[in-house]
Amino acid sequence: MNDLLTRLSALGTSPAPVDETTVAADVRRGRRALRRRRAARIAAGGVFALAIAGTGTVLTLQSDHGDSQPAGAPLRLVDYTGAQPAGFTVATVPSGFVVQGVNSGSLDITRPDDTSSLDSFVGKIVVMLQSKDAHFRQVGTRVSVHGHPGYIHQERGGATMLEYVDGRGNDVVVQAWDDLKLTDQQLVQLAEGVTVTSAAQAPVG
Amino acid sequence: MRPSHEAEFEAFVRARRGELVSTATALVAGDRHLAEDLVQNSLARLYTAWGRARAGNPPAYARRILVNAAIDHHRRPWVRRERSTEQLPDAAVRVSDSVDEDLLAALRVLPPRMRAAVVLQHVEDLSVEDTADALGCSVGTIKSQTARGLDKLRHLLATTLQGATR
Repeated sequence: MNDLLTRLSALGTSPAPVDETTVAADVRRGRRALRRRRAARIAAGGVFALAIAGTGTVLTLQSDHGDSQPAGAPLRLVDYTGAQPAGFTVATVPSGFVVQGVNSGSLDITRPDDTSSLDSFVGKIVVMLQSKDAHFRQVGTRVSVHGHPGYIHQERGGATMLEYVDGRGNDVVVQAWDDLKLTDQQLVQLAEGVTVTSAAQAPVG
Repeated sequence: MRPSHEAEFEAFVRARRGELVSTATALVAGDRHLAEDLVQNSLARLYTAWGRARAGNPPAYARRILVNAAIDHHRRPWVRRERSTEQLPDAAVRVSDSVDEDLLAALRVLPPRMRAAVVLQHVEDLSVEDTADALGCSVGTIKSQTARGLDKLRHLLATTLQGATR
């Protein structure tokens, strides 16, 4: 028992010194988080007020990134004009979003200020091949992606997932974090702009 | 945020960020990339709540946010698990110069809250009371979770040892 406690205690690391660049980056992320929170509150309050007034006016707010996409408002898909990475190509992304990066198994679409790891899918749209260990789960709402059957279901933990088999037989998954409020129709539209290239590889696990 | 409050936040980050990364690394059983993500997100949340945090105990407040983030992460099956590969890595991410791989592997098997109870008390050397505060539960719950966690670790490590000596 004492040996176990000694081993646990030895897992602790000496805190590494923190440089000023890291401090500044943390402050920037904090400011952005605060702006997003305030903008979302204003948007929610504005929508509520407009509903009371019975008007059809659309409330618009300037986002953190200077684009026309209001924080907390429904996303709008636009043509993607940036570089296409190896593995997957995309035709549309939400307005103001970028392709953060790609590895052999998946592609992350997120806001330009997202500095999280490519391995974290929180707050993102992720396009990937279904795991080799899994099979095409025909659960949820049936939809059509380029004439091929697909299914949209809610994933436990806060994400919506569209799974379909494309024309080349690839089992493709497009996952959107629920905070983004992407509609099922938008998920299908985004999926219809996805092309899986030969560089993509299905993950395992 | 007022400039004076922001200066306080910056001072907090300078003084405490390293500890938070160290705690996060232990909470996620050695995955430093994930630990850094969790700390970045936790500090951003702390910034938005700095008014409340500074009125009390900022380190404890930050620790609560971090522990919740680590546990929430495990509730989100698609956050990371699909970023997998054909082959296991040759070595786990290093936690310290002398990595106890068997212990890290055993820690990964524990449920997140149980692991957090064990880590906060026996890696981070927090008191039972501070651990209960970080996890938002009673001292009694922490004691039982920790005891069960240690039992399970002992069992897992003994099994590993037996396997290695066969």
